Amino acid sequence: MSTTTAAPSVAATPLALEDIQGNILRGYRLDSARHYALAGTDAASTRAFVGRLVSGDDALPQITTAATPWSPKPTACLNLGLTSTGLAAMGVPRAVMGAFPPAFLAGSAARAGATGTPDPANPHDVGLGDVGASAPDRWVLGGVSNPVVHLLLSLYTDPGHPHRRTELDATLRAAFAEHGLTLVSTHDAHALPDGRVHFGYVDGLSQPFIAGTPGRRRIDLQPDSSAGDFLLGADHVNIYGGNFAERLPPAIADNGTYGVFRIIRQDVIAFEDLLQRTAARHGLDVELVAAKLLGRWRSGTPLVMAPDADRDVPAPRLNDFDYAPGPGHETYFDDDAGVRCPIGSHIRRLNPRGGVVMGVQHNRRIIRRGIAYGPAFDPAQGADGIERGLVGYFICGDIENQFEFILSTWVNRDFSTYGVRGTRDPILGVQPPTGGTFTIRTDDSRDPIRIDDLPQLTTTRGSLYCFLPGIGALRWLAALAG
Amino acid sequence: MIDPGLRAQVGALLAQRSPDTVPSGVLMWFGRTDLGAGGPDDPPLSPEAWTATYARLVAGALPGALPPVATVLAQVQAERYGAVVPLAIVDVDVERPRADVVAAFAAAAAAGRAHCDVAADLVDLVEPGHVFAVGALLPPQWKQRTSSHVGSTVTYRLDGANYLTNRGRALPDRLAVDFGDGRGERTLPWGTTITIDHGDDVEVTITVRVGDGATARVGRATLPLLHDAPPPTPDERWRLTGDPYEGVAGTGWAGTYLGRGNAALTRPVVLVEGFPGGASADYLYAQMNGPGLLDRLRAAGHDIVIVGFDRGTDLMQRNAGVVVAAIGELRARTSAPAVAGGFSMGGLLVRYALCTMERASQWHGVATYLSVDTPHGRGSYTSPADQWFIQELGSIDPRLAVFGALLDSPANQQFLRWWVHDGTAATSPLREQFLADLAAIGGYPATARLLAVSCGRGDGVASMEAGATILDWTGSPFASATLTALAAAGEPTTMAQGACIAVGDGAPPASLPLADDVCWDAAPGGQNVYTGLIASVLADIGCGAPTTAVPLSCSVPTVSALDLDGDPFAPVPAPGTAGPFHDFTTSSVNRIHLDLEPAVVDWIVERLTDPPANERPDA
Repeated sequence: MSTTTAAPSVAATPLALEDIQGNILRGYRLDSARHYALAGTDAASTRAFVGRLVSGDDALPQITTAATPWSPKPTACLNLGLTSTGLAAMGVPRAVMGAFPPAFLAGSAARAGATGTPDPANPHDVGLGDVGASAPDRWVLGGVSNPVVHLLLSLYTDPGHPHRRTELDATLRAAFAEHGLTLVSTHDAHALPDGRVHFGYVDGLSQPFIAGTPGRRRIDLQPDSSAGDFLLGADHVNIYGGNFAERLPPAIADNGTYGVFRIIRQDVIAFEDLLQRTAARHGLDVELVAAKLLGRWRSGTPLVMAPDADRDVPAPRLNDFDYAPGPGHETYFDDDAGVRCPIGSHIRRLNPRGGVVMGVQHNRRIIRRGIAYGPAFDPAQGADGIERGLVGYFICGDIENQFEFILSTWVNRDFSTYGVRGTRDPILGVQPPTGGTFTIRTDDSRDPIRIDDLPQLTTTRGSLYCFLPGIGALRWLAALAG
Repeated sequence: MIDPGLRAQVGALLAQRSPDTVPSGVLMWFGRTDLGAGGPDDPPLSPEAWTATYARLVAGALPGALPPVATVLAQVQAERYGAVVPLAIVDVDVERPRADVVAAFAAAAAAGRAHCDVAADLVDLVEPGHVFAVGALLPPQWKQRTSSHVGSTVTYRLDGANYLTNRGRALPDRLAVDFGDGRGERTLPWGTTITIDHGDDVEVTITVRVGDGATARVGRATLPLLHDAPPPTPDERWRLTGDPYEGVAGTGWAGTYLGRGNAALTRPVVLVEGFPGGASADYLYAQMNGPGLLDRLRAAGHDIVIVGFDRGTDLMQRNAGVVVAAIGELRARTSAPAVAGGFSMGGLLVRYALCTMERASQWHGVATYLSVDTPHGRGSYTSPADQWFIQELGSIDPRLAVFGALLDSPANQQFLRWWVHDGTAATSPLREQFLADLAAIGGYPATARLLAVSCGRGDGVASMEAGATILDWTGSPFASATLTALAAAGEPTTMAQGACIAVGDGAPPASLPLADDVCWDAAPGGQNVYTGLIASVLADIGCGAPTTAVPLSCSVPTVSALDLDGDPFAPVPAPGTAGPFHDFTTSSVNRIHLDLEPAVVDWIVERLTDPPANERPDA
């Protein structure tokens, strides 16, 4: 990897906050989520339901927008994604459907097959990694054996107000029945203490900051993202100088985006076993092994800022780092060799920051809106059989060039690159049955430490490619005829 | 027979059903209503018993009050044999007639009276009740009336979507489950997915408790476990989209299973799913494997490519496009000569696909076509009496209504000899169109060796007497029906008649006369179990006692499977002397449709692995 000129800073353009679904620009930090996967039985009834969510109907909770007042903080938020099948079932004209990108139209299960099919010329290509236990015929949502999903309605609630969720759950279920919507499945999430995920890391620290977004801006050596990297239409400009809406009419495109809804199982026991085994074998501290695999200490502190031992870094500064000098930080420590933060570590593979790996710098950013599911693992109980993981959206303006690229290339491709050759991402990557490889470089004369029994730590349990329309687009959908 | 006046009285009462008169949204008024309410003495329910319970509730539900049975089961319909097991919980308030009201109507019906002396308002005749039932949902399995989970390790899912309750009720806060693994009851959040190792158990009982204290309800579900190895996992899976037919494209999938020693498709055998489609890869592998067909072919180095459909009930011309797409995918990978065939309807789809390709001068490279109990020629047969029963009385149970939808589906109309519609039995216009379309493109592939097998015997022996009673539903004052096979001599015969207070509105008892020159029910051929299935559903309803002296009847006559013009009750001629097939075989007895006997599998394996010199593609 090498560093070049950073992406130019982005001019903040005014955003039509009232037209943008709230979960795109803002992490709600409401610690409970229930995602309702729905299938319509009648186009008109489905459209009527969607319309009621954006009509000010007092009898139903309304879609939360980026303009929804945050003081006092709402006790519940609601957002809606639609699959390509759902849009077609609602009566979106064929010509409009044809303007959506092929990845979205094909859907997650088909893309897993299309990109994960073993290529005789490249047998190590596993595409998005949705193979084996992660293959779509094993999923519980969106897979080849699962019922079709049209809508994904996400209700976020404050666990401090449990009756609020009960009340809204009953209201929504009654509305589903009233509008002929089949509840295909529900997917609950409950945040763990301190914003951690089941592997023990504080999560969600390096979210892109979209220029023009109101609210507090954190210190970040990465430039702001352009609104066009995530929002379609409405003259938003993406990092390539264009707009991901392409031929999609403004009526449906403006202020919408794509959300890849994933259910990712985390094998906590395998992870802890790996940490203990590696630490004992190589004389390392368990927490240092965990930090090397991720690129941050489990507290969230970046290894680049604290290479030898965890230290307390104020939360607003947890993104104030890069892996090499760059514009504005020309004298910064150069960790090009990955001595502090392994080149193959999770956060470095998935977000090389100032490093140019492929294409334009900072062009593969995604917004993560996942929350843990399953109860916190209690080591005293041992293996309890309960599935744990992360469920939620990965939001981006271009599924193929952002989400799919990250999964198929940065997570699962074996680069002929110094430091990562013969490896996949240690957290999300598909590992060979005999174990994957991960290299920890040292800053002394010792040979690099090589972990060669990396187990597969995560499994895809479900996936949907959704469109998260703007509020105006939801009204347009509700008003379709036929 | 129930007096029309009494049926009219019941009809008038039912017409009063509304959210005001049935506040729960579920009025259980016909058949057995004493279902468990969530007490400690409720019996555990097998997966099938839970489905039957839920079907009883759906039958009494106001529109939209409960999800349809088919919708609830859809989540496992295409799942693999060892897939995640959803636990379904039905927890509903209901209304039901008071016992004295039921007794009064029974007395009136038994006495043939035209009126029952009860109050005129529905609300005055019913009382509140509650039903609580827990069940494990399993995918259907080939040849199994009762499904089992395959494997000792079970992953259960407690999905809030499977908590089926009255409209407007939220998920209960407290949920606790004892999986019968010796670890006792565990309180779990909704959405939990949990894996339990049940060791050598062949059946486990799962106890689910919902709610707290005195208001808690408890239900138990049984889960049978099979410790056999599940069908193999496909080596590769393709998504398939056919060319549009009448503006709409069929879609489906293919799964590949490489033969021994093959690293890629080398000697492909394409086998296509039959009606109604939508089965899992595991189901189809088990079905097609029968007594080892696929395993033996793979051991001999053949690669199996199973093709399935997303909507197998759709027009066959449309799904034939999916088969063309499958052959296109195959040809993108190998140019090796292929075998292509289909089970039941699948055989027609392959015929149509290959002819379409030949007509378009597309190379398909199929050297051998294999038809497995496919309804060629004079088509398939479903007892018109069964069809009549489903059409006239099927509304008494949602499972029968689903059956009725399959009978009326486009594909079924296309391959069915007699389609009962609007009280008459006739050839569907869709069948006439399909046969014309197929003939127009050549009928059979011109460049392939044509092989066929029948699941019926070939000696022409009838399986029952013409005009035999196949189902008799008696024992209740509220319903009765008699279904018979076709007569032999071409005399119009009332082959079905009956009435049920549950669907009566004062109309006279319905019946179906039909004339044919053949008692197809008795024709040798692959057999269907439809009469037995109807009887099984009636038994679940708990109104009277259905008896089925002949639960099986002909589904695909041997003469259809071999596309022969002759008398269905005459021995079939020697292979190669009549009909379009170069070679064929029959079964020693009439077997269930698509249930291959070992000798037939031997026959297929011999012909596909070592065809006689004069039948080789290059001969």
